[in-house]
Amino acid sequence: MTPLEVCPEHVGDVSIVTFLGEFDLAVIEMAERELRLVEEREPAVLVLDLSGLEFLDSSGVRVVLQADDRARRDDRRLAVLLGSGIAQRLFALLGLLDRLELISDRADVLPG
Amino acid sequence: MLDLRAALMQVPIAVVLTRGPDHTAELRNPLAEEVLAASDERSLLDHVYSTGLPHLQLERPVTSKRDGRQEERFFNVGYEPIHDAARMVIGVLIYGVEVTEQVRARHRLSFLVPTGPALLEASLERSDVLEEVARIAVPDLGDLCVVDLLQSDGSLRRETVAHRDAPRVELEEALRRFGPAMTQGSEVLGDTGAASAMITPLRARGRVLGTLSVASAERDRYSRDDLTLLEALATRAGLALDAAALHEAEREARDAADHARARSSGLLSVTTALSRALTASEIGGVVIAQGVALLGADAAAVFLQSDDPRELELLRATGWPGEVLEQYQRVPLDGGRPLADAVLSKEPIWLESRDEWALRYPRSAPVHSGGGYSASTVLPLVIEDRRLGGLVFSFVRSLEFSHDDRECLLALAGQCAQALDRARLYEVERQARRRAERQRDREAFLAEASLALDATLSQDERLQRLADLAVPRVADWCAVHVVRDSAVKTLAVTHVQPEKVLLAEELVRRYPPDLAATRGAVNVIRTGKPELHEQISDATLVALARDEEHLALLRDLGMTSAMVVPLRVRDRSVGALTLVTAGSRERFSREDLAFAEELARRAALAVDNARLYEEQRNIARTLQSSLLPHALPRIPGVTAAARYLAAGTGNKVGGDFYDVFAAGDAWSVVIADVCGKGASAAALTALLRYTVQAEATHDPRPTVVLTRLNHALLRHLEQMEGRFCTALYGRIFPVEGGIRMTLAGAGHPPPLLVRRCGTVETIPAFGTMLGVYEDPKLHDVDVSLGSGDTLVLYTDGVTEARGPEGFFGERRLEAFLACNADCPANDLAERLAATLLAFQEGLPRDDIAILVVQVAS
Repeated sequence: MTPLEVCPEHVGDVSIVTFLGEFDLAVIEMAERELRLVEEREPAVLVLDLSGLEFLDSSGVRVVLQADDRARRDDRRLAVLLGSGIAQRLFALLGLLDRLELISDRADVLPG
Repeated sequence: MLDLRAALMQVPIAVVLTRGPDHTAELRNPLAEEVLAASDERSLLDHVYSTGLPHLQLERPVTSKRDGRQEERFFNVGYEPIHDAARMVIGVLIYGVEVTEQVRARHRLSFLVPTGPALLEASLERSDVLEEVARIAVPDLGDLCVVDLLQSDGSLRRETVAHRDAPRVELEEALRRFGPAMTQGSEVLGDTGAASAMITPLRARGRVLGTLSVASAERDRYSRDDLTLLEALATRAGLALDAAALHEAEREARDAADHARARSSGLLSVTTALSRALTASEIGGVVIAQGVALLGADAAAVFLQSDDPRELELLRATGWPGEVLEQYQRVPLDGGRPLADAVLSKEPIWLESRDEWALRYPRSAPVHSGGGYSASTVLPLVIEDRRLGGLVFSFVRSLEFSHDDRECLLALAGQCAQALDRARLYEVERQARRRAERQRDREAFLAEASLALDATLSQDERLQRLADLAVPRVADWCAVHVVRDSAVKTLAVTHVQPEKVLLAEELVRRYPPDLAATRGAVNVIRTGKPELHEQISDATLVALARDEEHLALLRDLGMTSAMVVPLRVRDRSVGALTLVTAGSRERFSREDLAFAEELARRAALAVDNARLYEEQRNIARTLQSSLLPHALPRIPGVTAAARYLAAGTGNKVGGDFYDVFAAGDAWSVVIADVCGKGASAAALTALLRYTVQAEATHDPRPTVVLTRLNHALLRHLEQMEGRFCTALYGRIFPVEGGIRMTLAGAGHPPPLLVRRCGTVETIPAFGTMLGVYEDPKLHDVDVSLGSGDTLVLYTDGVTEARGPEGFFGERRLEAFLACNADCPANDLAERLAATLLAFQEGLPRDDIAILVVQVAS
């Protein structure tokens, strides 16, 4: 099992949080904490990059949905990069593809 | 005119003139009167007279009286014929010239010429020289000869007494008072029978060695010449004695050197032997053997300071009778015994004879002399002022311990002490190393035990494992007692010899723990205090046994040492761990007890964790089962089967659930997965189950039921904590030759339709998950199942099951179902569950729910 890695990047007022490895029940607290730290910077755009995940389950999805909920409440923009792997399949199964702002490339949100 | 006759009468020559054939003496001077007896020479006179030839007789001995005493004198006596004018013999002139001095001088010479070299060459032994001197002196120089030699302290010591007759001690005594002189008939000798004596110093190289005395019963026996002769003999004897003394000194020096060399080589071999001896016992053996060889001792013993500073204990001994050894196994360090005295004072004790023993140690002398010993020495073994013990050597003979003997013995004791100290350090180091190794082993053992005890096991399994681990690494047998329902139960018994396990079990079965026992497991559980029985004697077993049979069983176990430690958690005794050694294994120590307590502490904690875990799992199971249907309802023409596998340890309520129930004129099936685990997930699952059942009775259409369920979940938003739920709901309508189903999915893995022929179809029952959005997109899907067709509903635990080969995945699931298409519903569910478990090596990571609906063939 590959432990989850959470890698935040900040480009201007865009923050990108990349999730790598396995995102499941065991790591949601850590993921949540990392996300909150990024959110404290109040980025105009927060991108959650799930394209590099090796595993994702409903617990991970729940973290994403809660972040989306907070963004909406705080009037921030949140975009999800699903890629073509497990995240794409699970979000599709859960009927979430039209519920979130999805991007297919980071360039879609980066300035310039 | 000179009167010739008168002149002849005065000459100091004996003169006799005879005339005629009758030898008529014409003249005989006084000297002739004294020394020449006329009658004796008659034939000679005749011969000279008749032949006319002169005759000379040399050195004729004559005994005469001079100064009133008989004296032997020597004369050359001549016979000269006297002729007349016609050359006719008419008479004989006899003359005697005294040659006594010459004869004596020659005698002396002839005596001393062979005497001197004879004395010097005869022997270099003093005793031989003295014997020779006596032999020469008696009887030639007197009846008695005495030699007194000067000793180093200035006194005279009588060395030789020779007497012509029987020993005459009185005479010697009298002689002893003489100075070097000649005594002729002194009153000093009056009582001794000696009438005259001579005494002269024996000298050599200007040194007086002693005196040489001779005595005679004859009065006036000695002349100045005799004294000269004695002095000459004394001179020769002095030189010979000096040579003998030098020789003796040289021999003594050589002997001493040889002795010293032998001793030092002996001591060297002791050193060599000791350097190879590592233990105190070996050292004792070496010192005794070498000491006995070196000194010719008849018995020897080494004692060491025992653990009790007030006594010594016997290490090694040789030559003592058994009963003495028995008596001296331990010797108290109090005064009045040579051993204790020597050790306490750190000074050697020398006892050279039985008398000395009796005088100095009246208490222990009888033991010593009873063993037949006379001399003894006790040497303290001391190093850097520390008392290590004592060394005893005893000799059957009386003995003067010479300076060399003492030095040698002290050197031996010194070497022994050093070797013992080295052995002690070696032993200390060895023990430290062994302790360190033991500590390391124990820590390794504890780590291993902790790991083993933390495995997913029940309390009892853990305790059994504890016992298994302890034998044989910690003990030869081990028993675990636990408190169950206010009683003490023997849970596990392990013995290093399997046949003894049966014996131990037999013991426990026949003699269950006695609740009133004042020692053992029950007592330890009651008091919470550990017990250490370092050595289990037979007396202990006798005291412990409840009857003869019990005693026999206890004896059969062969226990040597035991410890019982409590299994305690949060100040509560939950049991006791008993560890026992048997046979040759080392006895348990305090350190072992501390280790056992630590082991018990960990074991108790592990067991308590297991208990808590079991309780938790029991609660989870109870709750889970309340959320799942106890039995599936009968549906005409349909068989349904379900399996639920709790994730991992199973101690948390999962969020998966399924249900099959009758609603209206048809049957409903539902499978759902609530995000997360635990109590709040369980609450949501409960909400879900009852909502679905309730809504299904109002409007059983799947999209409607799921929409209403979504609303219900949204109403409990607080409780949801961002959770969501996926669900699949369907209605089963029995139709001719099979069933028709309407299904709607909400973010749930789509069901798989397994046709009887083995094809597998995914039913596209897709939709938005529930509990987050107000407007989930849902739709109904219709599907028909013919005879033998199977619909498999499942939660994501199935496809996300993970094993060494990765995720189980949809493909494996479809392949499995294709292969098992003709399998009855229950078997299919069972096989799938077993396959999934095996795939995950027995440890499901997530909950798994499987619901199988099959049309009867």
